[in-house]
Amino acid sequence: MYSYFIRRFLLMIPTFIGITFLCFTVTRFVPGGPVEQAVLRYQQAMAMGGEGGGGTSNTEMEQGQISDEMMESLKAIYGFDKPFYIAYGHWLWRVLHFDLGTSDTYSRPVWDLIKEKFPISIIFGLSGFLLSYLICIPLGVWKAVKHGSAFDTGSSVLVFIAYSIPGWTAGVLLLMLLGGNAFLDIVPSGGKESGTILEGSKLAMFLQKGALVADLPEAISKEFPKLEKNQTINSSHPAFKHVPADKRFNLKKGSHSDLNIIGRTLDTMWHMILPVFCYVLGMFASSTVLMKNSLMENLGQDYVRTAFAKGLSERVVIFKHALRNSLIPIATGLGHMLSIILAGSYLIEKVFNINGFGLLGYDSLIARDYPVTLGILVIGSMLKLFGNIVSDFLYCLIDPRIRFS
Amino acid sequence: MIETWKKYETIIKTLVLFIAWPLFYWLMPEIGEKAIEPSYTTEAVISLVLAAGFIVYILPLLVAGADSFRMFITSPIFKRRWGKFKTLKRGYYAFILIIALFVVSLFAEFLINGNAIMVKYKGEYHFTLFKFISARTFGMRGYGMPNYRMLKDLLKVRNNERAERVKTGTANDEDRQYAQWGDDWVWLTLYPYSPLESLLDELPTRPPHPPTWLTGEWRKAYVEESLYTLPETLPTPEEITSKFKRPEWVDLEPAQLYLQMAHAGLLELKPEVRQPGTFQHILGTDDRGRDVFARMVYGFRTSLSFALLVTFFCYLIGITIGALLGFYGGKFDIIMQRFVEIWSAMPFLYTVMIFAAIMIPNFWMLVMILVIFKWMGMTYYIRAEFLREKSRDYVSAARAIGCTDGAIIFRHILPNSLTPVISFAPFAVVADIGALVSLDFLGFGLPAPTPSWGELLGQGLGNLTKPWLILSPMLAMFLTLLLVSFIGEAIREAFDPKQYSRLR
Repeated sequence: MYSYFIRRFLLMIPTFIGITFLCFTVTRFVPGGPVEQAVLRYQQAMAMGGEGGGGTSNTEMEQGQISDEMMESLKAIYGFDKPFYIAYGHWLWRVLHFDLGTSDTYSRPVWDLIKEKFPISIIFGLSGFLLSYLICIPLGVWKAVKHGSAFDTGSSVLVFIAYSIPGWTAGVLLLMLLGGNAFLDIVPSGGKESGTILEGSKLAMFLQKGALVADLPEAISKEFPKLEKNQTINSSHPAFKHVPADKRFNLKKGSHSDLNIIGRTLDTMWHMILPVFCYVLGMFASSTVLMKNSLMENLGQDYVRTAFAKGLSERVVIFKHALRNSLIPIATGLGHMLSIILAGSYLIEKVFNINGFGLLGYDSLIARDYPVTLGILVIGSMLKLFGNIVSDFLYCLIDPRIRFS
Repeated sequence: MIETWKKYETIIKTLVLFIAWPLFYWLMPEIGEKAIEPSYTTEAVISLVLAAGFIVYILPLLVAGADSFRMFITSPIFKRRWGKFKTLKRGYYAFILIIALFVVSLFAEFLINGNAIMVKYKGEYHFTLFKFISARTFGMRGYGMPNYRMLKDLLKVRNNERAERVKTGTANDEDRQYAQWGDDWVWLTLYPYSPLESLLDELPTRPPHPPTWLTGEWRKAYVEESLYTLPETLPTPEEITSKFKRPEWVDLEPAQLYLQMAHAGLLELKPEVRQPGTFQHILGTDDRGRDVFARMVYGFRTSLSFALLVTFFCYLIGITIGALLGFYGGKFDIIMQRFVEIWSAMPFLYTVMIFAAIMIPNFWMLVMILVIFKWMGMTYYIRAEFLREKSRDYVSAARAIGCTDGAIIFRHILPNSLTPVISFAPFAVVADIGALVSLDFLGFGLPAPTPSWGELLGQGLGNLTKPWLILSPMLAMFLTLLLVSFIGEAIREAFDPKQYSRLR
């Protein structure tokens, strides 16, 4: 049993190396990589500068030609000066030290970028995942209990419809219908929080108290040199508590950060409605059918017959005996939770313009920002590998009959 | 089938060799054999070797596989299950409908095309559908492809003029010749617009154009482009109340009044504006002025053939590997299973995105990329089926009478273990269509002008005020996926029935 899991963990190593090596190699051998892009940017910059400066000198540099030494140094910057297998070795060595390199477009460590974007995707995805379980499990159970009834047929229609609409395409449709462009204006048209909150909007009532920087005592304002005299600060700013009470006033308008905690929560939730709905829709059909079929299968088992025979009520048989066993496949799905969320995020975050993990991956592919691309691949495949093991582990934990060997 | 093959083996192999050789030769630069010097002889030799290898090793396997599929289809148990499937009306009619739609869409060029099917000009017949004929041939300007819709109108006008001249007796030499030739005509297709043809110079406003039957949207567009002529004098209040019957407009500013009148259709368009007919573009046009309905239909063909091809190749590889694993077992099984496990741990969508973003694939390369990362699913099922069937008595009997491994695999076990292939195929098709739409939406799918649903959805996301760009692909995709999942549900019920016993 333990040896099984140890073997699984050991198997992760070749898997990880295989995946990353494949993608690393591909990114190396295809034109349009970072070096070519840098050369292009340089030439464009030179062309622009040449037009402005009149272009009197005629050297190679001015014409946007790149000398061999420059090309070499460029290649060295992006790590293209070594053969790809050595470069891969170096890259892998750095990854093992949790260093995923530096992004070409953001000029920041990839690890920081991922750490910043990951929680955003997780909040959106996890709420969708949990909500879908909250809906699908009771629905599946009820469908199984009422198998063949009008309710079962009716909800099957719903399941068919949900199966035929990929979640993210429903997002596009709902943005059009409800996002204030063509028909109704109920939900925001994307993003993860409101940029500006005006006096008229409903959120304005949750705005915090504010104060002018000019009203701060001399000694305090020296501590915050970044603040300008005519700026307003809100009550979450550390300098706010030093403002005299009579100088404080209610903010009339502001941004997401000017809202108090209730307002911020409401604002975020308001932005989460559609994306979370898309996540739920994406998982709705499969989870419901899985739950129903699993319970149906258990209801046909001998132990259920025994339980009925010994005179237990239907309620006890279904909810105490059959349901607990039929939750096993659903529970093991928890292991794949993160990779399912991430797979959905590439599309849903693009639709709703949520600046999370998926959009980062998309943008890095468009910009040919290979360190970020590979970093996201590393994280994605690690989560998938761990997910496999976790779901196996959960399987063992829940169902003592299962013995892996 | 296998008897026919044995009888004509040499002839078929020779024939296939002569087909496969140029095929491989043509495919070679596609795969990207850049390392080989581009000299014709080496490429020819390599393609010949590949074709020979294909004939000697792959072709017999394919024939044997096809034969076991035939055995599976003709077996009584399949016939019984198929009879069950036919009784499930919803799935059966969905199956017939989708096959019919797909077959019709294969002939979409004859139904929905900017090219005319046939033109008669000066007594000569031109088959214009698949043959390029320059505009000059038909007396139009330019050397490009003629606009056949304009040509039709033009020829009609000329025919009328000619008839007029003949009537008044001022006919020239050409007109007299036409008495022999007969009138010119153009045989347009049913819906004479191509999916790739930009209609910017034919429609008055800027793209995306609304569906032509949405007059309200068109009026808004005309207002935006200021294509209305304003009356010389402002309508008097009496006119507004008595003629237009809109007393609420009396107090409006002139600009507002004109806007209201334009939206209500009470203003005249400028004389040079050519309004489209009511059912000219039933789903409008996209942001480059291409007809959306034509793109929907061609997109249906692309999506469905893509999904069918991906499913077919995935199953081909999956069945082969699953069968080998299940039949031979042992060390090979263990190592290969680990490999399959490793391969399926790739984050599918992102890996495909990476490859597609970097390679910028055409249709066949995209099929290949998807197959490479998607073939694993079927191996598990086929392996399990083979493991189960291998221990049956009929396999021992076949071995006892001296059957080879190949004969046991292809003639005995495989026909008995193809049920999962049939029952999972529709769901795989749904998943593949979804994958193609997602990739096209993200811009990593088929190259730019290819008509596709995902690309149109992407345009719709950029133009959220133009509902027809979103509703058309959504509806097309929804109906297709719904039909396919109806088929899948019915097939699953017929082929893989779970008898739930209920105690109550």
